[in-house]
Amino acid sequence: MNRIWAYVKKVERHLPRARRVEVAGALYATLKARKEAMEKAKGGKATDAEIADMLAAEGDPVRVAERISGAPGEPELVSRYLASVERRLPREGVLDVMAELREALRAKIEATEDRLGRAATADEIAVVLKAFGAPPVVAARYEGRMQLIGTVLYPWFWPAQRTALGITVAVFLVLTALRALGTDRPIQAVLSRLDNLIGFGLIAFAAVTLVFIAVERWGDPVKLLENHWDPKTLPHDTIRKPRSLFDSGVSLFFDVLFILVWLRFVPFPNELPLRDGASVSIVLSPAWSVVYWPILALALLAAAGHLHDMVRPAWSRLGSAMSILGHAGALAVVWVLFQGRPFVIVEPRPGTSPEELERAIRLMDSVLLVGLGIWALVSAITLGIEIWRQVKASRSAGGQAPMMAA
Amino acid sequence: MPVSADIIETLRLELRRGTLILAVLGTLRSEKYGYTLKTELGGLGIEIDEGALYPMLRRLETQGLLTSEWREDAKRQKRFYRLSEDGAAALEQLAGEWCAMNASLSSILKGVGS
Repeated sequence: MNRIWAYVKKVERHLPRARRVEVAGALYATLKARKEAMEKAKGGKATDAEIADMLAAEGDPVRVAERISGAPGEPELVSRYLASVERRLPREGVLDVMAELREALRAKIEATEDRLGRAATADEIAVVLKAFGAPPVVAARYEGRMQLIGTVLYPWFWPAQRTALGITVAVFLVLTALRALGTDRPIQAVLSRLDNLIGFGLIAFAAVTLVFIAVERWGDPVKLLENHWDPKTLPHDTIRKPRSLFDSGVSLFFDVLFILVWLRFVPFPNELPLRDGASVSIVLSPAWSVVYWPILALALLAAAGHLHDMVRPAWSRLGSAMSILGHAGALAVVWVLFQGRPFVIVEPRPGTSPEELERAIRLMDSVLLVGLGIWALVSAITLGIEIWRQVKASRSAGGQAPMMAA
Repeated sequence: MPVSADIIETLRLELRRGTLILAVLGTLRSEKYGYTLKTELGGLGIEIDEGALYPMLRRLETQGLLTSEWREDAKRQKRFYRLSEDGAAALEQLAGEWCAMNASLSSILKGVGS
């Protein structure tokens, strides 16, 4: 294996820094698999000479690096297209497939340029890419799988199932917990209803499967994709990895839950139990009334952002702009709240001693102080990152980064 | 009622699907890389999208019907394909099937579409 490792290290030196580890790892896995296939075919261990021949057939490390990572000066739209295909391909043999597609696109673009007698513009490259096929369709053809859910829709099938299951579990737990609050033994009440969860999970699975079968049967997903995709809206994978459907789905669920609580459609217990059976009720201070509508607007913006991420998971200027607006708004809200402390009014219930009341006030103030502080810190960091991504997108696309990502 | 363009298109694609593999195998009796293969097929009146051609080449290689190697040509790394021994045997059989089917169809379709 040392010979293969040494070869990969030679290739690695000529790879672009941003993807060096990832591509070198994939190359090592490819060569290792090839060596194992060779050993399986001959029924014994490969000799050093055989491994050397295999590596010689692979080619000069500099050329291999160029082949699998693209030559300098590759049009940015082509890189985005290839990245979009690559992330949908099976890992096995991915470098080889990508190298071939890269070369095929290069030949097509050069043929266009020969015909035009000049360098192709971004619009002309987009026409070449459009003719080559939508990334999900091209990637699906490498899968060659024929099933109830076809190859074009399949990459979305399991993420959609995970999201549906996540939302089902979350809805079930929240509703069960709310019901259990009214009982004498809330924990036992929740546990006794857990067996219903399997039934709800199966219903969610069946519903999602039926939707996919319906789209497959009557929606003609290949035609839908081919007709409605635009190469210029390809995602910038290098700016941020696409967000998973599960993450966006669960975030959206909690956004909606918060909005329902904030609008008082879902009751939220405001009683804090203390020692010796005493308790206090907690009410938001007048400082919150100033930011009531801004907080609702921010929650709606966050929900819209997560919904946008579910439909278009890759980074886009629009999604990023929504995030910047949301986090800037969050910082403003925290600043207003800090000006109007205390954050909550703590009222004693009968039987609560002044000491217990004082302890509850200090506790609530500290919890909210730390909570809002963390919220502000996370918002400030995310705000900075998103602004930096916008700058990076402008630089990489020469100011032509898409507003929407595919 | 005239047959809709969509139905005709679907039938046309089904008709072409099987013959494309035969055309690719037949053309790769001499070594070619993807782009020249597509151009040569296009010149002979057989259009195929690259998005479909390259996955097909890879599948045929996995099935052992083609062999390939990366080589430098005109200062560029290109992947050249050619028919393997198994591929040549498969082509022989498929071409026989095609000729027999063609003869039968010619007889059935006599006077149609001319």
